[in-house]
Amino acid sequence: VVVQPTENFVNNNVVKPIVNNVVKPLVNNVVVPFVNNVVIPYAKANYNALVASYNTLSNVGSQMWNGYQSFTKTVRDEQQSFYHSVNQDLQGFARDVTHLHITDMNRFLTGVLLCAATAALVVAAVYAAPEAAAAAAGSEAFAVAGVAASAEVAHGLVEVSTGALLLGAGCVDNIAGSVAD
Amino acid sequence: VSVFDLTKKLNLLPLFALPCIIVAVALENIIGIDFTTILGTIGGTSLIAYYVWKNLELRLPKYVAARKYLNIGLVLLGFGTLFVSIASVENILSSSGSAGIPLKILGTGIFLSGALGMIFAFVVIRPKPYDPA
Repeated sequence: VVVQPTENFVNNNVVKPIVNNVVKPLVNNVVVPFVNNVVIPYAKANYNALVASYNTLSNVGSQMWNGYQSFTKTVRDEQQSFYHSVNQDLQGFARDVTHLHITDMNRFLTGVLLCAATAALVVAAVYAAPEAAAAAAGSEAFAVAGVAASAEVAHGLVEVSTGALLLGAGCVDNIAGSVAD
Repeated sequence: VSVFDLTKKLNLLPLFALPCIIVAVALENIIGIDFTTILGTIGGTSLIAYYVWKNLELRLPKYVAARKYLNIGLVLLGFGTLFVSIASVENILSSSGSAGIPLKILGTGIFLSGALGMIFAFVVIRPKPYDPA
């Protein structure tokens, strides 16, 4: 009974005036314009920027994906082309080799003989090089002896290399001249 | 025969071998394939023999270690040369162009085995390491 009038009094004389004179104007004049003019545009701008970023990234990703697919396709095509080319070359080579036949057996055998002599001379010369001989002996003592004897070995090497060159030329000439496709 | 005489004769071997090879290869079109075979194999074998014996004289370890197989290879080269030379002479004397072919094939096989044997000996056989003691 006592409280009711007091409450009404506070309501009518304190709360209502404050709400009507302070809060409402504050909301209407400050908060609403602030939300309308600042918060919403800001959020909207952010949202648009996000959407734009997403679209951009999406485009970039899409382009990258397309580029990757194009690249893999190119690589695959190149590989196929390369294998095809190599295969054709190998088939051509195999065809050439299998179609080779000896037209002059006498000359072919002479070519083989000269090739064998060339190979034997070249290997003999390689294993007579002073450094190789010293390394093979595995001794410092022989290395000195090897260097001392190098003049002798080099002397023989001139004749051997001349002979190997001539025999090699004869080998190639005779074998090439005795086979035909 | 002294060692000096042998060395001197050995050094004369390239003077015989190189002209044989030069004539065989350079004048092949003039002298014919049979003379080329004879001169080429004789020259090649002589040159190989000269070089092997010279390096054996110098006591190169690789050559000393493989001496046995190198000598066998040289003997095979010699027999191969003999067979192909006989086959070539047969071919020269015969009116048929392929008279000595079977013998030449045999000689080529012997010559090849000699050359391959020498190459094998060089590649596979290793000299014993130097032992000062």
